[in-house]
Amino acid sequence: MKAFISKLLGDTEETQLVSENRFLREQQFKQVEYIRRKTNQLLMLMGTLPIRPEELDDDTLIETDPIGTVADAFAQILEHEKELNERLRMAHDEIQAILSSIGVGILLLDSSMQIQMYNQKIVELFPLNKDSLIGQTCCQAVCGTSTLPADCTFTRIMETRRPYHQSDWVQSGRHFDVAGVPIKNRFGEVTHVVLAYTETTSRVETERRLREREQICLDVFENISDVVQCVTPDGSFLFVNRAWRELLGYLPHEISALKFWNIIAPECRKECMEHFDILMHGERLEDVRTCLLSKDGQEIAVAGQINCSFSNGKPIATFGLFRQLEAGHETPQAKS
Amino acid sequence: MEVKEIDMRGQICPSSLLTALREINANKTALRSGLLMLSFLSDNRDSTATIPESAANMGYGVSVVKEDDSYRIDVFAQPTEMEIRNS
Repeated sequence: MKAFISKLLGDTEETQLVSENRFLREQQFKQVEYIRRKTNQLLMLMGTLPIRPEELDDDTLIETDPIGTVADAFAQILEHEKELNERLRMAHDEIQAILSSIGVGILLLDSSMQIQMYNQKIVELFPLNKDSLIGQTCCQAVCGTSTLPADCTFTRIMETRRPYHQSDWVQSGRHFDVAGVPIKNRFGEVTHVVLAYTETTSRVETERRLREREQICLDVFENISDVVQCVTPDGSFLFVNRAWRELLGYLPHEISALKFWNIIAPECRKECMEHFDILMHGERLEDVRTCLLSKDGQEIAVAGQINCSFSNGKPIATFGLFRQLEAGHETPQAKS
Repeated sequence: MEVKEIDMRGQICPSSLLTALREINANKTALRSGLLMLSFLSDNRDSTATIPESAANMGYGVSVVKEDDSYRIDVFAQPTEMEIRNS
């Protein structure tokens, strides 16, 4: 009876130990599995493969603490991301300040033409509602139409995927210089387009008025009875009027082949070249008397005045206004 | 600048990555200040992608050079904002 009880107690203790050992093995297995699972999860996030059991056995796995290693690496990644975000925020603020300070209207569009960003100048250039601008298409906001205009800069950039510059885009009677640049992703696809608008209405208007005045001046010079000529520093003729052509007998298309000294009588050339030098130094010559040489070789005495126009200190052209001297007037040859 | 060479030839990813990360973590201060450069030697091609990518995500500069029978992966401090602007 006693032996039976003792055997029974021993069996119970052994069974208990076996049971405890099994429990501990199961716990360790669960811990190792947990470490493997979490380590693999983190490694996958790092962009690499899971750990294979043959690479790290259970004991080494616990000893090397891979979760701790990857966690420390993630802490550094987060620190770096934080610094990066701060730098991006500063860069964003700098870009915003630059965009606000320049006198050019700027729109950032996504690939479906919707406005993603704009600067203050664009709101000043076009009658835009700032509250509803983001998300509107450029077409609706700027062109004021739901259909694409034929000369749409955005469409052109999306088609060619290259920068495009439209030098005279007209909208509601106003003129604009429009420059567009695509922003591409790493696959070369255009994700955004930046459009920069510069109003050129006053410049275009000024140029038009200048052209009109230039034409009036040309008409006046063309029709006066005095001989008018404009000569560049290399001796070519920039302009001669009708009286000049009639006096010397040249046709309009022959003028471009002529040089200034071709129409000066040989005995007057030296003096004329001296006059030319004086003019190139900015002086104006009054009552110049010389002899011109017509196409058929006839010498014609003329008198007049010449001056020279300059740009940035460089001579552009001489402007001469002459009248033909009647017989009996003193010519340079007579003087000498 | 001190250069610490770590020979990982024979290891494959992800073990080599874990070794590299452990070294980078342990030498973080010296690396960040530019006093130390870690130079990993590996003959595992996958490591030439995983280690540089992880190190770059942590804010380090990385260069990979193919040598005779292995790759040399150098991890060093990235230039500062001021250095980038002045360069």
